Amino acid sequence: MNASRLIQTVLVSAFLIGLYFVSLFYPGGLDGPQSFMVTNGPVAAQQKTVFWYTVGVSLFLMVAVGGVFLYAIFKFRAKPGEDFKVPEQTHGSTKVELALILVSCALLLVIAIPNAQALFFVDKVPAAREAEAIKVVAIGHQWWWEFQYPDLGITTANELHVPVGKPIDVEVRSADVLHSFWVPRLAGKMDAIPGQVNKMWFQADTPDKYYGHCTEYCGDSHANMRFFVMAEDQDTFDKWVRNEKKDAVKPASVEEVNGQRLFMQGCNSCHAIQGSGAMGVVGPNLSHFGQRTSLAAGLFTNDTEHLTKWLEDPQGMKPGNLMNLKQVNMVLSNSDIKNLTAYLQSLK
Amino acid sequence: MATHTDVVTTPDHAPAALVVGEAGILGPRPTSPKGIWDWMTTIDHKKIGIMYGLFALAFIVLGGVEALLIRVQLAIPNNNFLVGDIYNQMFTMHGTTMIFLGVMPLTAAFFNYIVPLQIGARDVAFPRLNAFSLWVFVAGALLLNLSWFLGGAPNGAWVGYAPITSPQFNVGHNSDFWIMGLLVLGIASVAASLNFFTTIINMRAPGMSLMRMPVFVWMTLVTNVLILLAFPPITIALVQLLMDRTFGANFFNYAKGGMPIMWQHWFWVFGHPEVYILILPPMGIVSEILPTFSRKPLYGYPLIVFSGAFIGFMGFAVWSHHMFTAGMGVVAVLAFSITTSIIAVPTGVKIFNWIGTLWGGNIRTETPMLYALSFIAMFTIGGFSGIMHSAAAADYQQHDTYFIVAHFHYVLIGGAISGLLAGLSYWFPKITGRILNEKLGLVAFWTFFVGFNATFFPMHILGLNGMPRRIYNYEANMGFNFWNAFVSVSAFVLAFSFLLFFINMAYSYFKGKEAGNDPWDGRTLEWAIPSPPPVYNFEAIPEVTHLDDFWHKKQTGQPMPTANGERIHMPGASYYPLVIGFGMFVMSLSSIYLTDNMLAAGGGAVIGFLILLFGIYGWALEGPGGEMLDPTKERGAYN
Repeated sequence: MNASRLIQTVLVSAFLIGLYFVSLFYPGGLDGPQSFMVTNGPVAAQQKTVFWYTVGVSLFLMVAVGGVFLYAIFKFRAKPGEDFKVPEQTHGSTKVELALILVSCALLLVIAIPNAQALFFVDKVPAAREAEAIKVVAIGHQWWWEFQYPDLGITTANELHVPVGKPIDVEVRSADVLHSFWVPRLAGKMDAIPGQVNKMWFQADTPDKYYGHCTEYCGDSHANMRFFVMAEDQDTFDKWVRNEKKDAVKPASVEEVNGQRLFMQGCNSCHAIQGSGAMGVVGPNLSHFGQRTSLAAGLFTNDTEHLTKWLEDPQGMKPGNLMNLKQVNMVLSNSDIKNLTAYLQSLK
Repeated sequence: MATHTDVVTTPDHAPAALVVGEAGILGPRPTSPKGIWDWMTTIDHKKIGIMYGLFALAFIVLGGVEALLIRVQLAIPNNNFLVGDIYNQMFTMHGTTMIFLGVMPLTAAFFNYIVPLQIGARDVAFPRLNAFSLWVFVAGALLLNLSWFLGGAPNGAWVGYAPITSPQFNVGHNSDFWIMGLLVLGIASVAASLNFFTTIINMRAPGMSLMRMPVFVWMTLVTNVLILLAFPPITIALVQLLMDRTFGANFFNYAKGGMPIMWQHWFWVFGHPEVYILILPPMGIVSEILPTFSRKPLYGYPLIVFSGAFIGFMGFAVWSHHMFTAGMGVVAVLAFSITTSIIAVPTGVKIFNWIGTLWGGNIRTETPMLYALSFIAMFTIGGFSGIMHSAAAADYQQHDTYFIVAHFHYVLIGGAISGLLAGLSYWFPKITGRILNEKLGLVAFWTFFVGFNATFFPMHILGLNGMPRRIYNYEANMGFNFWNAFVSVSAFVLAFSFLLFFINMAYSYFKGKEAGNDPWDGRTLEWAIPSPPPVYNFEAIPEVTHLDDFWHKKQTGQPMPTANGERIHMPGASYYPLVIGFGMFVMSLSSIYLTDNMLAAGGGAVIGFLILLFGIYGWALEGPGGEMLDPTKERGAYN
């Protein structure tokens, strides 16, 4: 036994264990708004359970294998001056090998069974609950999400309203390239692939604003393709549905009227506003835009300041997005922007 | 075939080297060129290996700089350093560079330099094809990186998922450079794999049965079988994408009946074996270093060999675990989840056996061994997170987050790069004749070890906390701030460790301690010959009677055979591999512009093709050339 070697071994182990534990327990490290270590609802919970099984098996192996490994390095290091001593030349042992292979296989079963159960559970809404499920079609666009409720006749964007306690049956589709629908606290992700209808489901048990992010690389503003799931109690949700079904409110003030006129001179070719005659389908439906909390696919707070900045320079706010005013020769004066802002904010 | 090692008995009065002057139709081959031409025309596996190594290290530096730029952007929330497309180019090229221009050619450097020495051969089976692989690789690498100066680098991520790379969504030539670059690199890899496969099967010293081959040679064999089988699918996919982009085909265009998801299947049928192509050679290297520095035979040699082969085989049965969230259906997901977890068994077997090798040994911990031990530890941790994603239900959350980024950097840096740095430290004395400075080596190693863990462990946390991959910004309220800043600083520590390693290489090349033939008391044949080895490697080809034959010979006091005045034919240099590489470069670079100007670009492509054709004919028709060397008179000339 050599003291300096012991110190070295202890130092290396302390560094690793210290780093790993500080990482794991550093405050705020694992409970961010997009953490899947803090879950809500049965789907994310099941997925987290399987994760903990894998962690358990890994930790067991890490302690067992890592312990033997460290012990071997420490114990069998050449003593000073005996660098070239030749130890006994052993070639292996069939019994030891077989035992280790069998133990490994058994450990894999510990993971495989809960994994299989969870896979079937998260695959689709349980048959007994299909009747109460709310159907949603989530369509990925570069770089925002369109949400349709086929049974309710509603189309909205970037903020998916759902009632708590109900299974949400999601069809994930894409309008252009690959995207992925992911709300970590509620459920794992599902890719949006052109020409393919992928299914997933989730359920929120507590009213909250849940963070989502596109997780399949989709181009320039992939980083800016965010969204929210607004989980509400049944009454609030029903109220929201009733409002969404209505046509957009008519402009009242002069600014709003001017804003609408301007909207119909260009914006309408990409955006729809129910009841106003604007029926574009390229960009998000703006019928009740004033009710949304966020702007540009979850990127900014929906307030006058950000909306003004957005209308001044959409490309600077969100690189590459299809709202390229220069390309379509749209020049907005300051008063145009003021009028448009007033109009859009009135669309409650 | 040029690698005859015919042996002719020579009279005593003959000079050391006799030039074989037979000229082919296109004249004789260059004899003993000097300076840069020596390197440009060489077909010596050792020089080609050194060039592969230097190119690979240069590209690892380039890929590293790209990584550092990415880390600068991510250091603080909502940073404006690299925004949008330029950031996307950066991470696309970081991945592509590190995999295809960094790690793969660095493994190829070891295949080239070490495999013929370990099997007791004078060169690879097809030396000119070997030079061809090198120059075609250089052509592909240049082509990929020229894109930075010709309108923008590839920006479709290293996986290039359709339809983000399709003409509808990717205007400009970014993806064309990627397609052409990878196609050209694929040609280099497949040619090299045929070469190494043939070499290992046919050119082993007498008595070296398959089960007496060093494990590194075994892993090279498995790796090259994987390359041979894995590159055709990616080539097909790339050609389909090329058709889509250049000629308006619709393989991946859903609107016209194409199928985007097919790209993912093609890509990962290649891509998963590819990660074993990256990791198996370092596993082989570690399996050489552990016995040498433990002074014991490798524990469970046959099991290590078979588990390596089994990992290679299973590599083709798990590709869809990269696509768990692509909507394949629960049965397919479960099936691939199970096949994936099965790979943990042979991988575990390797780790157990490496530890078994240490057990009861007499372990020396010089730098090569430290990197090898770091390989085991870090690769094992990467293996654990691998088990975590093999459980598909858990992977639904982890997919495309920093948890995955942490995982594959643990296996590719903690694993592959650790193993390759171990190999560089281990064989540096053989290649240069001098040992790397041990003190500087220790500092470099510990900087690497600390920097690596501090960079990549926190990425697990970022992933679990919901940070997606491939994003260039994040909000301050997401809980990503602290660890991103920490990781960015640590990345520079990691980069610094590479700088130290390179400084050590440069310093030791000139000032290092003389190595002699066998500085580590090695076990395999390469340690029996001078450092650096003479051009013909072995004065006389040894007869192999045991696994770890050189160790056995040393232990039992048998000398290595020496030359007896017979001459050895070493093939001459050749211009044509370089010519072909150049032709391929011109042809592929021109083809990129076919959609802009069919006539000019087509003309350029035809000229490139003609150069290529000239190269092929010249290759076929040049004379055999070469020199007849007499080792007894050459002794010392190459040291």
